[in-house]
Amino acid sequence: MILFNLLPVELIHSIFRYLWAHEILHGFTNQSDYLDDVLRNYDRYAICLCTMLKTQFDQMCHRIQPKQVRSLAIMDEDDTPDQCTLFFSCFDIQQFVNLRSFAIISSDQSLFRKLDLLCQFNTLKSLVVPNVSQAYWCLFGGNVEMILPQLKRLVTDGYPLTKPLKSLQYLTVTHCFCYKLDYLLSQVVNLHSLNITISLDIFPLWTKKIPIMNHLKQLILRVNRKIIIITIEAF
Amino acid sequence: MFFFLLTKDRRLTMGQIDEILIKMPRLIHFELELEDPMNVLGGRKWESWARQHLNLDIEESMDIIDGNQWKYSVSHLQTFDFRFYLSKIPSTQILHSFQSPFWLEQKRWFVAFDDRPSSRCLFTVPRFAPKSIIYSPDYPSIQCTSPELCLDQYVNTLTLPVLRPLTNDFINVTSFVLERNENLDRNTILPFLQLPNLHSLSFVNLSLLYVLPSELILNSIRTLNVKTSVSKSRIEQICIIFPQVERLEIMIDDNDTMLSSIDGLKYLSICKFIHSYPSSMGALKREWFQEHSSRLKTNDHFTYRINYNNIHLWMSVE
Repeated sequence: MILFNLLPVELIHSIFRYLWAHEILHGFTNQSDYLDDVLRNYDRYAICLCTMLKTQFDQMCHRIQPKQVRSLAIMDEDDTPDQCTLFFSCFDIQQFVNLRSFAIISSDQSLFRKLDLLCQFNTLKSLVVPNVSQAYWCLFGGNVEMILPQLKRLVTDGYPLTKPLKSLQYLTVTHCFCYKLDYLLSQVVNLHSLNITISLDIFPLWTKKIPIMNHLKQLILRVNRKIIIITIEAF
Repeated sequence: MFFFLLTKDRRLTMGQIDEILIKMPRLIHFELELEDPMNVLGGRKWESWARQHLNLDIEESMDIIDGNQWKYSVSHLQTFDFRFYLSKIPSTQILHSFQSPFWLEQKRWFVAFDDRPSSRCLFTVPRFAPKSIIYSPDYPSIQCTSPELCLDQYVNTLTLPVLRPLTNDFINVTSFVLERNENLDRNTILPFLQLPNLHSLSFVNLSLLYVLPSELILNSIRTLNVKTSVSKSRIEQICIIFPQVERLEIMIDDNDTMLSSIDGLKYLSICKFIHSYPSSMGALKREWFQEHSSRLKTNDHFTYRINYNNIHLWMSVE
């Protein structure tokens, strides 16, 4: 820790980029006046509501200012009961005015309504919503769909990709049938990075229809070889 | 009466992969995973039915496991990683085509083959080096094109199905799972518990506690999973051997054992108790915990959730 006092603030900040807010605040608080000062002025905290010690959680809620938070991810963990409720009893989602990235990994889709409230700020650049169903998008996604064109990064099950998203650079699609791939890619022609899981189906010519992706530097392709059994009840 | 509509997919061919890559002229990083061919959509019932009744001979495109074929498609890339699950046993020389100067010297891309029937696959390392392994007596079962690359260093979870001596250098293992503890022997088991980065331990019966030296204290263990019922006297022993435990999952027969671990492990924060006799649990409310646990009486910063016989607690530490 003495070594940390000798490091320039920029270097400490670049170490913080690899850590969650609760890890930073738990590990570096009360070590020295210099470090406490660095913690107070850091404005890129990434909060992850995941499995953590209760003491870490309490410390984070006590010390962090919502305006210091750049990124908020909500997981779904059985082992930390009421974590999300406790968090939102300390903070209102609309206090996070500098948020750039919001992630709902939880299967609790009601969190999607918090995202809808958040969208009025127009600062979001990254959205992770792999479990949000089409029904929720239709019911509560009005404001969210408005901000999709400004996003740089999106993780989704594929539903909202029905309009061209010219700014999008990083896209993860958790599942797509191969016959839909050409349509999907034609909406996001400026992508730098694509991470996609596809299922092969009976259309053999899908690879020929893929549009030219002139900016794509990284492709992560997972091919799911599910055998699909559809049962139809006969009368 | 039911009808079945079955679509049987085919493996991606080399020609299709070329067609994808040609549409992406500036690509520099490519990762390709072909998953388990026997993955039935439609539930477990259909999976067992399909395994029994369909003689699934899914077409295996042999060209994609040929390193010489790949050479022409991926030579412009900076990184290329893949993992292909294989349903048939390919020739024993499967790695041969990945040992040309193109793979080993020009690109320095190394390939390994895991030939255990449950996970037979061909993959690049270190990207797809196994992180969780079953340390059976015939380990290692993986061949690799790089003789220098030690795959042991990528393992973080070690499962021991039967007792065997520790003869590999698992410097990064953080989690150790003892699946059967019959005929445990102190000198064989201690080296596992003393792995340099170990902080998580799981075991299925208490015989481990009997073979450990009586004065042993394992301060490094922060996560403990005991998959058997524990009595009150045994939990007191556990509290002495593993005093730094922060996360605990354990089976209990009575509420007293639960209270002993809450009060005995002072760093405990995240815990799950699985009650063997849910009918004897009684109505566990917040007040009950505060009344019966000396720790929760003085520090009421905790939350709990009860789900049939599972009791989750999340507690602050003074």
